[in-house]
Amino acid sequence: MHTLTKYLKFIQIIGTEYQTHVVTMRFNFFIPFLLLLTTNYVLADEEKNNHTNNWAVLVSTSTFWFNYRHMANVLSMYRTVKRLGIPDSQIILMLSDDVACNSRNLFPGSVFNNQDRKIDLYGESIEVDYKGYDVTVENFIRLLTDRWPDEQPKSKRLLTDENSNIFIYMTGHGGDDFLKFQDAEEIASEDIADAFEQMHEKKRYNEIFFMVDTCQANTMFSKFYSPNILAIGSSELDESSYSHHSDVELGVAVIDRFTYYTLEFLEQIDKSSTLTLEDLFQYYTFEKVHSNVGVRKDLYSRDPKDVLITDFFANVPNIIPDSSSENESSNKYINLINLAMDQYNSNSKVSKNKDNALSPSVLSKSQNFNNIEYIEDTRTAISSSIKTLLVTSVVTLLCILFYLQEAESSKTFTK
Amino acid sequence: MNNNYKLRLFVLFSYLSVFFLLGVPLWYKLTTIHRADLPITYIKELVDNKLNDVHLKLPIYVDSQINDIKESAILLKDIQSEINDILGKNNAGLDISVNVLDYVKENLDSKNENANQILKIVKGDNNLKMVENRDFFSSTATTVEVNDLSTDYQKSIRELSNIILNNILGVNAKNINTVIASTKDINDGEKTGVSIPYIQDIHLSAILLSGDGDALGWDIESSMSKYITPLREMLSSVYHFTVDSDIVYYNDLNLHSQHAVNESTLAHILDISEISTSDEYSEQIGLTLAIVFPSREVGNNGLEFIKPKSIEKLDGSEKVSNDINWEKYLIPRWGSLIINKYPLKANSYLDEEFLHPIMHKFSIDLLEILGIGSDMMSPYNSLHMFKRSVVLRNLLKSVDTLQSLVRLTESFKQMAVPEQVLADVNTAIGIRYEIINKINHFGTSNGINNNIVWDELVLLSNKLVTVCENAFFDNEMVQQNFFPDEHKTAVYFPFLGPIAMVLFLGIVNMIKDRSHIVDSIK
Repeated sequence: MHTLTKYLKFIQIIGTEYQTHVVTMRFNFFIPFLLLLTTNYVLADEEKNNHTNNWAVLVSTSTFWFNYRHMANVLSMYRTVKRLGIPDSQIILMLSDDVACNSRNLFPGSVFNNQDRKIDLYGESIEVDYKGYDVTVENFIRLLTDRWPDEQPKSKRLLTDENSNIFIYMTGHGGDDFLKFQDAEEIASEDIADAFEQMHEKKRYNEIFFMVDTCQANTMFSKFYSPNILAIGSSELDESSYSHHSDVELGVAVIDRFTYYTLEFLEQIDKSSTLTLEDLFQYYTFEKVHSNVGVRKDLYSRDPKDVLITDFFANVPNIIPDSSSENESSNKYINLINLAMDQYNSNSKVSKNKDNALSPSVLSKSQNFNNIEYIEDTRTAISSSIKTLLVTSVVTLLCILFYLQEAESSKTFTK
Repeated sequence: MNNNYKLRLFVLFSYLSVFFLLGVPLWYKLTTIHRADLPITYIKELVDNKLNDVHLKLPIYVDSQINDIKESAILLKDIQSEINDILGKNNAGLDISVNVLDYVKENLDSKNENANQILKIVKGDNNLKMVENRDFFSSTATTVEVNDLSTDYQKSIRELSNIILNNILGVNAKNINTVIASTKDINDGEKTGVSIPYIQDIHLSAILLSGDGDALGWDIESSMSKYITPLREMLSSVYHFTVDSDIVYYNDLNLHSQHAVNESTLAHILDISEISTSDEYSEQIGLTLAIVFPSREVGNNGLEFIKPKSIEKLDGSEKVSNDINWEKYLIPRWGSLIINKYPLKANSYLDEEFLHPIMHKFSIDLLEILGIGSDMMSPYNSLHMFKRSVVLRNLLKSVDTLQSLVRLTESFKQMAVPEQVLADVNTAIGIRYEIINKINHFGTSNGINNNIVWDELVLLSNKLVTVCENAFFDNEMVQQNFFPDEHKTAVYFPFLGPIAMVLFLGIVNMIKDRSHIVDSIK
């Protein structure tokens, strides 16, 4: 029955097929039957998935009150990934404006994504990592590439590794190959592509799912070239992305169409869900989104129909029950524990054996080496600066002298 | 007219000289992205020959108590020759040799005895069998019982050689290939996703969670110092642990919400996101022991899927049976989760007796997650092997990082390469050279303290990895594609345009004046 209900829902998107990575509507009578056979509604075997942790980077790049919906988009995604178990420490939330505290907000301290105002997205505890003027292109690139000064707090860093699946969601105002940040600067698709390449080079992800809701969104992933990235955008080149509906009392649109239907789909997901990314892609239709949703799959090694939604939107721990008794394989650990106890007891009886401890002076040689390098570098830098200063001063002095001499001769001539 | 012309000429040359001698160099200096010259060729050579300059020579001290000195010398010579043959055949990409030394002749002092690896061959009833005697834990000596060597002498030599390579030094082909193959998969656990990759600084959190808000306490301090501190001390040369503990109320990880919870649905119901405390400590990796008591909402029968059972523990020499109402789960790369069947009563206190079996299980999980321990070897020898593999892995990892740095700087021409990066790279090359030097000289001097040398090498190799990471993640190396050349032109043109216009019009005017002068002279 459950499967049938899902199937009936699925019937709504009959005739959907991919055409040059873009979902376009085309009626085909037989497709529902084919889809029933091929999609993961009939549970398919899960393809090998190597990730052990999930991260989410959620970015709203627009400022000002009338861009309320962009904040609501991001906060809705935040609520969803948190509901599905991704901890706050693994969610980076970038909110470029604080609409909850805007003086024009009739419901201070609240942000809603629907005119029924049932869910206050701001009401429960949220942790905004970057807000206001901290949401910049530079900070976003730094976040992805993890290039920060030492004082950057750990909570504001993307500490992923080669086993991390990362969901990146961006929304704002965009154009052909760019997305505006703060109405002041823009990020180009090349910038994101190069940042991903740097992440790939340093093994900072297992897979990335990039989702962007903006005008001409599909251009934002056109320059990607690093492996294991799956990308989806709300509209193709020269196409706008639209808002879904407005709240009359707030006086602004509260959510975008693409994000609205993404959330509608994700609301049926829990951590045990077997729905796949392919199901999500099939869920978007032109009638719903009013633009052509684009998917880029060529960099991604797995088939989206084998990728669970929870691989990116949730954090499902792998829980291994304890074996009833300590088996042979745990003997090696028990031996080590016994050795540790033995050493600890004998050390507490006898005075600590200093020969086994590493003397603090062990690294003195390499530390000295570092100092020498540093001093040499500083010297080189200083000498280079002095040279530049000297040359500039001499040139200026010559100019002044030349001028004075000329002025003098011109005076003499006048006399 | 002439006078005016000279003044104009002077003004023109002044402008031009300032423009070209001061302005252009200044503009060039301010707009050019600084890229320090990294030793790219040297790093590329390192990448091609990652461990080619490592010549690992491991000493093994053989104490043969079954024959006289002359026969011992022959036995050692034969073992040496057999080991050379085996290692020669297993050309695994790392130059490893074993130096078979006479334990009696080398006369190790007591300090060095426990720091070096020893094979004791004793007379016994069994033929060629490793014995787990009291030496197994208290020293690095591995004892082998031999009944009669002469029966099949060649076979005995081969088996003794294999014991040295597999069970004492851990340098068999499989282990070496695992190290060389990649910087990933340091052990079997890492392959299956249970173990974490090696990293020096690790934080341990012990958290007690109760679904209700009644006051409760636990004897965590003494339990930690009794069960975890010995482990921390033993591993202190490889890992730097920090520890904290916490009690969390009104949180049973969502266990109360579903009555039909069972082991298969546990992963979907459990919400461990709220106890992630990673932002509260500076270490990159944290491992957790979470002891959960469900809320009273689960009812009097407690959690159905937790079955009461009894475990045996050693109390002195006697085995004592203990009834427990909890189940332990291992969460890979995260830690241990203890789920209790029943909720806690008000004002409960968890004493050491309750925590003892939990700490024991957590210690086992901790070692599994760290990936230490080998089935084939004594714990001492396992630790030695682990240290060696850490050093070799760090060497490989550092070269990989330098290679990534070179690739990035070559592909992104707009990316700045600060002098600090060059300094870090030079430092890294220096430390690497120092490590290789120490490894290569390790086996050539007899009687040295194995522990001190390898502890020092572990520290140095960790420092090497840190310096390489600092070079790669330098905070000034933010790629500047979002400020392309067209933008530079757009920014500077409004400044340069008016000046250039004045100069241009001045020159035109001068040319006109000049032609007037020439005309008037004519």
